[in-house]
Amino acid sequence: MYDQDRAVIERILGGDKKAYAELVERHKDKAMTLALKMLKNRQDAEEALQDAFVRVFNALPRFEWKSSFSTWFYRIVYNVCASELGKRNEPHQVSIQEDNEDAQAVELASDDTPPDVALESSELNAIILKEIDRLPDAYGPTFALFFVQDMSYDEIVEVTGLPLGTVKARLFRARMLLRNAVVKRIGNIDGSKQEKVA
Amino acid sequence: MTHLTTKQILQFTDGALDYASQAQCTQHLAVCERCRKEIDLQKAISKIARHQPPIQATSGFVQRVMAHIIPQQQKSWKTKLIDSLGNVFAMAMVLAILGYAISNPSLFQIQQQSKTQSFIPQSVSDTYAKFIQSVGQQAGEATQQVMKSTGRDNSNMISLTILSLLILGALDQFVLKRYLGMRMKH
Repeated sequence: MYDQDRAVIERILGGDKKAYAELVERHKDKAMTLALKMLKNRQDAEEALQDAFVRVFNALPRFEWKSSFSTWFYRIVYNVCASELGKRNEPHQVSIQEDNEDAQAVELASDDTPPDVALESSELNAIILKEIDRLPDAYGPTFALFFVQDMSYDEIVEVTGLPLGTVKARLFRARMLLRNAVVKRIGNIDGSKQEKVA
Repeated sequence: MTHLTTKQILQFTDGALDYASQAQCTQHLAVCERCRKEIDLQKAISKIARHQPPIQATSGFVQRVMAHIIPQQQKSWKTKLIDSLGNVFAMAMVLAILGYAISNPSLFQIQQQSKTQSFIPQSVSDTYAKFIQSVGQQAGEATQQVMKSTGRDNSNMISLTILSLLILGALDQFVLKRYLGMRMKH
């Protein structure tokens, strides 16, 4: 991906501006996932993403390859979406309480024994995807960057500008919320199945 | 039995533990069913989260972005020439026809009169002539003076001008630019 991006960017900077369509095509869907996680509205997300792509194009000559293109690109997408949230008076605030992930562990870790999970189960798949969509606004973007964009903690810090502790705490809380919700849902499914058998 | 902490479970799932901690966790998992189930669940969550289908942008998104990108490019002198050539040509044609009509008023008058008498009923031609005259009267003093100086009815001139503009506009839009544009692409 890195090399492919670099080759296309070199073509664009060499004057082949139509090559930018390749870059847009390659990144639009994953970037859309991030934008939608932040803005929660498809039309707003698409407009913000369009704006971000135009900004990226204009800023390409100044890109110095200090980070990967995707990290730089997602930082612009994230900033455009955060700015849009700011216009709605819904800023992405950083909470000091989030910085201590161990404190959250006590609060969130459930004592119940998780049920057996069949990894290929389509039912489990649907439950997890639904619960991912229901994650609180503050955790969705970090979760998407980690799992969908496959970024490291450091890259997420670079994209979001959040402190490392906050990034770790948000991911930790998101995963625990997801885990608890899934355990609850699977437990309910198992319970209803047992009731039907009885 | 002391179970693995949530943090250890997540780090083990992500493969983020150092070698010694990894070995310690593996030893524990061999004897602890609860922690094994926890790891299985976290692995399932991670796997599904990583492979969740990305939300697709609507069709035509790339084209919309590119529409913002392409106008930023400077047009080449060839493109500029093609864009303006049609207009220049159309204006030159209109001026030429007008000049010819002004210098030869009798020719147009005779032709127009003969056509009107032979093909159009008298009542229609009268109405048409009145309409054209009323348009001509509103066309401005300067134009009227030019028309009067040629010594002929200004209705012929106005209708001829409108017709010429329409024909040349269509020629410019649908033939000239398209033809030259195709030539440029090839």
